Amino acid sequence: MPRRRRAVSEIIASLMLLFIVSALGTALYSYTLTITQGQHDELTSEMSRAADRAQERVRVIAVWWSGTGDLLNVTLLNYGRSDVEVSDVYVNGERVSAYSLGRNEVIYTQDLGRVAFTSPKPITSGSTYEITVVSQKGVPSVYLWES
Amino acid sequence: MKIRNSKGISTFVAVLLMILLAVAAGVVIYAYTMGYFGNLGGTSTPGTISLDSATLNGTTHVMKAYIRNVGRGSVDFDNVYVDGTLVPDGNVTASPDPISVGDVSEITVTYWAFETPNTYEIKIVAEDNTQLAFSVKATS
Repeated sequence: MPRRRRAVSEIIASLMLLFIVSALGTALYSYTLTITQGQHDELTSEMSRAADRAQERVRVIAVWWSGTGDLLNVTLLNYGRSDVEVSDVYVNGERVSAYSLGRNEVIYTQDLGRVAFTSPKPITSGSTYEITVVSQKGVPSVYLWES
Repeated sequence: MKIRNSKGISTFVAVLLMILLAVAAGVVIYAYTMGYFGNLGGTSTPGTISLDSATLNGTTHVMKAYIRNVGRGSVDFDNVYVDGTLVPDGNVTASPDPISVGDVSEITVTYWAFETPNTYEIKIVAEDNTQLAFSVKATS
């Protein structure tokens, strides 16, 4: 007499397979979404910061020096589409450490601003200096000034 | 004539085997693909640094650069390359290191090959693979 083996029905088998595939799919989707979402957020944030930096336009339009000493007064024009905050100034590549005014102050768009500081390099008449003004977002503006 | 009754696996077991094979193949492809895309699934992403100013003195063979952290996380400097050549750690100083968001670090590189009036390509690499490359001309 042939032995009768019992098994799950086709409907139950299909439901089990459906459940397994759905569970695996959900887990994979969730994992992939976590990875790609993190990357997407990071990329979006970086693009936003890059766009902000690209919109900054600052130009040195005048440098005032009394003729003696190392105190310089730099006038800046913000002709970009976003407000700018001057973070650092460099004279011939040397970082300025002593500011009189203007550092970390906002220069609104289409407005003038001033930064006064003591040059880390001695100022002598008739010499040329490279003045680099850097915003808080890291956008540099280079100006060659002859004293 | 006697018909031979060959026994095989059931449909259910066959489908389970297929799923197992598909999952195994997927894992292999995933591992292979991640080899190309590197740290895609990692938690650390490179930061962003920018150059404020750089000078190179060809007489003293010293380059000084001011690097600003304009990203969203702290950056820890690792290596400096001059024209693709790794500069020994003893010839590089960075202060502060690591560099916090919004801060500026002064990096000094002493390298015997710096000569006026050549231009050198400097590449700074951080531990999280944040990179910054720039050119600087040696002056006396």
